[in-house]
Amino acid sequence: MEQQNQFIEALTSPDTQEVAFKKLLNDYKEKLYWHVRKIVIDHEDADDALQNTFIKVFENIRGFKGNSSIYTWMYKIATHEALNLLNKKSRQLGVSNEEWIEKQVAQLESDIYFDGDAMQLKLQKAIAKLPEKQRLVFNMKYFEEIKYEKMSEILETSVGGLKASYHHAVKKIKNTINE
Amino acid sequence: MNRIDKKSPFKVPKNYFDHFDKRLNQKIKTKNSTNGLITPHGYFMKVESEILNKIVYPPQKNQAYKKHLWKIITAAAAVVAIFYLNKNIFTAPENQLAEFFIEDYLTYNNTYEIADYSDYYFETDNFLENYESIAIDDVLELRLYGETPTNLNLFDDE
Repeated sequence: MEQQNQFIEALTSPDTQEVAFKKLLNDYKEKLYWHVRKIVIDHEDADDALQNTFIKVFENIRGFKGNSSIYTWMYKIATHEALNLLNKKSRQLGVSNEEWIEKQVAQLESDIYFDGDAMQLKLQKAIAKLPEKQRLVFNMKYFEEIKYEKMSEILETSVGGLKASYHHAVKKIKNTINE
Repeated sequence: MNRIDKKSPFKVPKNYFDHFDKRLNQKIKTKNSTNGLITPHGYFMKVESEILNKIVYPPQKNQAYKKHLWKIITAAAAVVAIFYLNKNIFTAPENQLAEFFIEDYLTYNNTYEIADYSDYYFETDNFLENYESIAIDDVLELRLYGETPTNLNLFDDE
């Protein structure tokens, strides 16, 4: 905690923030990229969400109260950014977020930034059919292996609720794959 | 041959097989954690510089001082200029007033009177001190009407 406080101080002090921010960017860009990429699917959208996330982190670092780890806080911002982008895109087309994601996943086969095999594509399609919350929880638990307690802070949902969401998600995915 | 122990001479780390499946699963999962999603070549290097280009850092303390140095110098110069300008602005009417009183004094006082009070009245500061409350316009008006400060006994303390 002491180490985090020192790092936050470095991020807010004009003399040290440039170096500290570069470190933050270097440490978290990949983790956050993959988190938002799994939410929005498309690389260009993930790129937008990632850049917006870091800009918001920089702009709001003084407002960070230190109640959670900076990683949790950044994850929260990244999730919001990705979901906001998703809302914006789906609203433009007049479809729901789920419909938008299914459309994105349907295009994965021809996407140059997808090199998965048939099984991975099938898994992506099954995940895309999940309601938004279950999709988020499944990605965070299955691929990113985030603990429920941490996930609870990020998604502001109870641990019990998250476990139930994951359970339902797994069940639906199994059914979809076995169809 | 029978004397040679069949037991393998190779050793493995303690509990190696206990955690083998767990480690293998971990490795497989890590490999597939992106589930087929990939990024353009060199993306993470590129995105870092793109983000950094969008960030506007506030100036560092010493840079802020340097940046504002010219403002400080300009402000100081302006204060000095205003001081001298004001001095000239306010001195000009005061000098006019003093000259007027001296002229007035010389016109309306005889030689003996001038000799008696010259040390006092010819000091500009004393004129100003005694008449600082009189506006120059008022004095000129008094003179136009033929009443000078001398006539009104403004110089006399008694």
